[in-house]
Amino acid sequence: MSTARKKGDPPVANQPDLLDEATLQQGKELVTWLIKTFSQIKLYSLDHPNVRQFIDTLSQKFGAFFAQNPVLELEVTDTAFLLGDKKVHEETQLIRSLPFFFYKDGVTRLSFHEGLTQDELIQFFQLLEKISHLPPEESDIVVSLWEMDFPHIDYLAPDEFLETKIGQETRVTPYKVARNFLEGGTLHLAPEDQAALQKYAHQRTAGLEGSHPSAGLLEDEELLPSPARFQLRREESDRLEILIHKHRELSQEEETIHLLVETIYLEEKIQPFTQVLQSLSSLIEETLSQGKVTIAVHALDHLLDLEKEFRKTQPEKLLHLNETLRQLKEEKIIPLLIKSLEKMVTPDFESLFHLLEFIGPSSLSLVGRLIDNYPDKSFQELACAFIQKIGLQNLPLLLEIADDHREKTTLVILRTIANSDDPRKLSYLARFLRSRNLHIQLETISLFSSLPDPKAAKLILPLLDDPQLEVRQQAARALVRLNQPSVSEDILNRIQEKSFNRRSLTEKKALFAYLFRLKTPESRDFLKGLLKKPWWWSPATRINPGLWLIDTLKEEDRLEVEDFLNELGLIRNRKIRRALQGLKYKLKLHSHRDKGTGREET
Amino acid sequence: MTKSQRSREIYLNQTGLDLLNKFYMLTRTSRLYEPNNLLFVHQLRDLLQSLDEILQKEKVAHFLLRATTLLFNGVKLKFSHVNYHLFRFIYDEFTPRHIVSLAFYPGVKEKEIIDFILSLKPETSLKKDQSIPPSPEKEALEQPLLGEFPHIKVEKSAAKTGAERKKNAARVYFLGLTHLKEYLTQKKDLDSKNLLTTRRMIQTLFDHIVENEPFLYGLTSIKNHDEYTLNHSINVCILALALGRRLGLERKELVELGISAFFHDVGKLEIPLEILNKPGKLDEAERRVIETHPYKGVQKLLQLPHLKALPLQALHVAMEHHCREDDRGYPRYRGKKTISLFSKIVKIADYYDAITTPRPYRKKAFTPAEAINLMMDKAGEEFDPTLVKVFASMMTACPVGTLVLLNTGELALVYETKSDPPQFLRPRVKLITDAQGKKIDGPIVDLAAKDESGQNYLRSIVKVLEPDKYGIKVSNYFMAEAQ
Repeated sequence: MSTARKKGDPPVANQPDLLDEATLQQGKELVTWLIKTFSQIKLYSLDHPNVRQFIDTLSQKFGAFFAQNPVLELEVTDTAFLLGDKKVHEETQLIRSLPFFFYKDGVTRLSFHEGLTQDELIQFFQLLEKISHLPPEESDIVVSLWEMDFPHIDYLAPDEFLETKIGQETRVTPYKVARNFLEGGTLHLAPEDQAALQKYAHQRTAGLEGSHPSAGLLEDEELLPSPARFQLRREESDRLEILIHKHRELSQEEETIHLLVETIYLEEKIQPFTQVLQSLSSLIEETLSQGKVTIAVHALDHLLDLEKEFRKTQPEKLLHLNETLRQLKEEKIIPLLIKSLEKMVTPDFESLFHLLEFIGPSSLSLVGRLIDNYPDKSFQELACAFIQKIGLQNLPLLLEIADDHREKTTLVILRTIANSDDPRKLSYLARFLRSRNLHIQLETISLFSSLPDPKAAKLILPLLDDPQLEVRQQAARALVRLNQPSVSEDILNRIQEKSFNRRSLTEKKALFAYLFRLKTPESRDFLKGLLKKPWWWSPATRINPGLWLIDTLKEEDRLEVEDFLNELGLIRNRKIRRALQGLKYKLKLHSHRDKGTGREET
Repeated sequence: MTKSQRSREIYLNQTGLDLLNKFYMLTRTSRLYEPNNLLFVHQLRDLLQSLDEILQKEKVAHFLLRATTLLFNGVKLKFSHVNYHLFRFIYDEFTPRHIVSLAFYPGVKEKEIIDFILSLKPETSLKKDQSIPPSPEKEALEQPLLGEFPHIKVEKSAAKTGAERKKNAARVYFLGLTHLKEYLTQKKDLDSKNLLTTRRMIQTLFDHIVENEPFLYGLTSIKNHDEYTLNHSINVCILALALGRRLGLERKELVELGISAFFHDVGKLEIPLEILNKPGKLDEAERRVIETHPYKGVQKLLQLPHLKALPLQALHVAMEHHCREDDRGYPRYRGKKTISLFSKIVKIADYYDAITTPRPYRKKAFTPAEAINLMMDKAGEEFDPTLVKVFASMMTACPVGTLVLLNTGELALVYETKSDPPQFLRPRVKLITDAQGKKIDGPIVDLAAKDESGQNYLRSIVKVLEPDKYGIKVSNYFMAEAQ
C-alpha cells in the first residue's frame, strides 16, 4: 500500500514518495489545467477574460491541492510530466509539448509549493509566453526562471546540461590530484619560521597570550589588520546604499555613450576608431528611435566637443567624425524622430529643440508637424523661439510651415520675415495679405507698414476695399504710416467718391491723416478745399467731410496743424468755422500753457 | 500585486529578518556562554517575545531554505551587505545538517528554545579520547535528528553531500574556463546564442558560490601560468560575484556583473605576449601599449553582432577596471568621470587575484593575507574605501587558501573563514603536516576549538607562510576535495 506524504511530514531521505490515487488524480487534473491555461495564453492576452478565468480556476485547484499536499513536484521528460512515477501529462509532438519546453533547457524537475499566489502564477505564465515567442537559440527558460527567482516555484536543472553547450571542440579538464600525493615527505621549517614558533612558545609560557580569540598571532599582528578595521561604520554603510542606489538610477545608455566617446578620443588607429564611431552613431540612433532625445543630445554635444579637439590635432579623425555628423544631421535623425513620435513617445521638449537646432533649417518642416501635435504651451513657446532663431537661415523653408490653421506660429513666422534682411521679404509677406485668417491678415498689413519698400503701399491699397472693416481700417492705418506718395491720387479719388461716406470714422480719419502727412501741394490744396468748399457733397444730406478732417487734425502734430490753419484764410461755413475755432482753442490752450502763464484765456 | 499584498510582503521581510537576527545572536551567544549567562537570558527573552508577537499574528514562523533563497512564511527575504551574515549563518547551520525548513509554532517556550539552540551547538570541545573535534557535517550524519521539539519543526531533505557539491563546483569552474577559452580562441563568437550560455554558466557558478563559498574561494587558488588570462578571468568572476552578493545586488545585476567580470580583460588579446609576459620592468613604450588594453577591450566587445545581448556594463568594466579612486589610473579620460559600481567591484577582485598569482615580472606572489592587508592600505587611493572594506571582511584577515603555521608546529591551509571579525584568526583549517613536519592529508579543524578545560585554544596561528617557500601548491588541496 502506498503511503502518501502529507503536509508537515518531513521527507525521508533516499525513499521515493508514494502517492495515493486521490492525490494522483488531483495532481493530474491540476497539470491538465496548467496546460490548458498555457494554451489560452498563447491565443489571447493575459487580460483576456478567458485567460483570467483559467488562471482563477487554476489558482483554486492549486489551493485545493496544497490543502492536502505541501508541494506539487513534477518530473520532466522530453514528452511528459510525471507525478511520483506516474505520467500525468504526455505530448509527443515536441513543438506543442510543454514538458519539452522545459526539458530542452535541461529542466528535470518542476515544483510548485504551498503558498503559491495568483500573482506568481501570472508572472510564471507571462514568462512562459515571452520565451515561447523567441527562437530556441535565443531563449533559455532556466536563465529566465533563475532571474525571476519565484518564491514558490522551483526547478532542478542539473549542471551536466551545461556540458551539452560548452566544450564540444575544446575542453579544459579538471586536473586530478591523488590524495596520496598530498602525503609523504617532510617539510622543514625555514629558520625564520622556526624562530617565530619558538618566540610564540616563549611568549605563551611567559603568559603573554590573552584569551581574546584573535590572540595567538603575535608575530604578524602588525602585518595583519585588526578586527575593527573590517567592520563597516554607520556612515560607510549609508554610503554603500547610496552607491548602489546611484548605480541603479544611472542611465546605462548615457554612461555608455560617454564611454564610447572616451574610446574614440583615446584610440589612435583609424580603423578601430571608425568602428567605435560607428557603434556610437548606432547607439545614438537607437536612443532616438526610443524617444530618448536628451541622451542623443548629450551624445551629439560630446561629438561636437571632440570635433573641436580633432580640428587642432587630428585631421584624419576629424574627417571621419564630420562625415558621421553629416549623416546623422542630414539623413538619420529626422526619420528616427518621426518614427518615435509616431509611437507616441513624448520627448523632453528642450532637448528636442536642441537637437533640431543641430539639424538646422531642414528641421523646420518637422517643427511644423510638431506644432500641430503638441498644443502644450511650453512647447509652443519653444517652437516660436526656435523659428525666430533658425528660420532666419532659410526663409523659404520657414514659409512652408506657415498656415492659416497655425495662427500663432504663422504670426511668429511673419514677424521673423519682417525682421530679416532678406530683400524678398516683401514678396514673402505679400502672400499673407489675403489670408483667410483675420489675425494673420491684420498682422501682415501691420508689418507692411514698417517696410521701407516703395511697393508696400501699392500692395496694401486694394485692401481699402476689403469687405471686412478691420482689414480696411488696418490698411488705412498702414498707409498713414507708410506715407508713400505713390498712392495719393488713388486716395484722393476714393475720398471724393460717394462711397467714402459709408466708411467708418476710423477709415476716414486715417485717409485724411494720410493726405495731411503727405504734405504735397496737391494734398494740402485738397484738404484746404475740403474746409472751404466741400462742393461735392449735397447740402441736403448735411454731411460735412470738413468736420471729419478737423477731427483728424486734433490728433496730428500741433505745429503742423498750426501751419496748416494759418494758410487757410477765410472760412465761410459757420459749422466749419466754429469747429476750427474749437481746434484753435485747443491748440491755443496748449500754447498758453506752453508759455507758462498758468492762466486760461479764451 | 495589490497594495495589501505588498504591505504584507514588506512586513514579513522585516519581521523575518528581525527574528533571524535574534536567532543568530542567541546562537552565537550560546557558543560563548552558558544558558544562565545574563546576556544569553536577555537575548532569549527578546527572541521569545518576537516569536510570540509573530505567532499571534501568523500562527507559524517558518524559515524555508530553497536552493540559494531563504523564505520566511512564504516571502523571500532580501539580504544586503548589512545583514548578509544572517543568510550565511542560516546556510552554514542548515546545509551541513541537510535542514531545509525550520518552523516555530504557538506554545513554544524558553526551555524548548534553549534545548534546540544547544542541539545546534557544534562539539568544539574535545571529548575524552578524541584528538580532533568532529566537523558539523560529520556530526550531522551521525546525529540525523536534532531531537524532539513539540513546537519547533525541522525538515530535512536528501541533499547532496559536501563532497558531491565540491565535485560539481569544480566541474563548473572548469566548464567556465572552457567556455572562456572558446571565446578567446575564437572557436565561439560573441553572439546572442553563446552569451545566453554564458549567462547560464554565470548563474550556475553563482549558485555554487552560495552553496559552497569557501570552496569556490579555494578554487581561485588555481593559477595557470601559461593561460593566465583564462584562469584569472574566472577567478575574478567568482570573487566579483561573491562581493556583489554581499552588497545585496539583485539577481539580474549579479549576472551582468558576472559577465562583465568574465570579459574584463578581453582587451589583452590585442597585447603582444612578449609584453604581457615580460619578466622585467616595462619601459615607457611597453607601458603605453599595456595601458591600451582597456579600450581595446571595449572595441572587441563592440564587434559583437548583437550588442544588446551583452550587458552595457561589460563595456564599462572593460574600460574602467584599471581606473583608480585618486584618478591616477588608466586610461586617462578627457573629462572627469565617475567609475561605475561594477568597475569598482571588478577592480578589487582583479587586483586581489593578480597579486596573489605568480607572474614573470614579480619575484613572488603575495599571500592572500598580505594581499588583503595591502589592499586595505590602498583604500581611497586605488580602491573605493567602502567596497574594499566589504571585500576584506568577506575574505577576512586570513582568506581561504592562506598557508599558516600553527603553534603546534603543524602547517595548515585555511579552508573556511568565520564571518565575525573577532573570529577572523580562528578559521577552520586543513592540516597538511603534522607537528614534525611530515606531510599528511589531514582533517579540517576549527581553530576556535578549546581543550577539555574550555579555557585554552587547541591551536592558534603563529604566522602566515609563503606556499612557494615550501613547494606547496595550494590548489591541489582543494582539487583533491573535488575528486
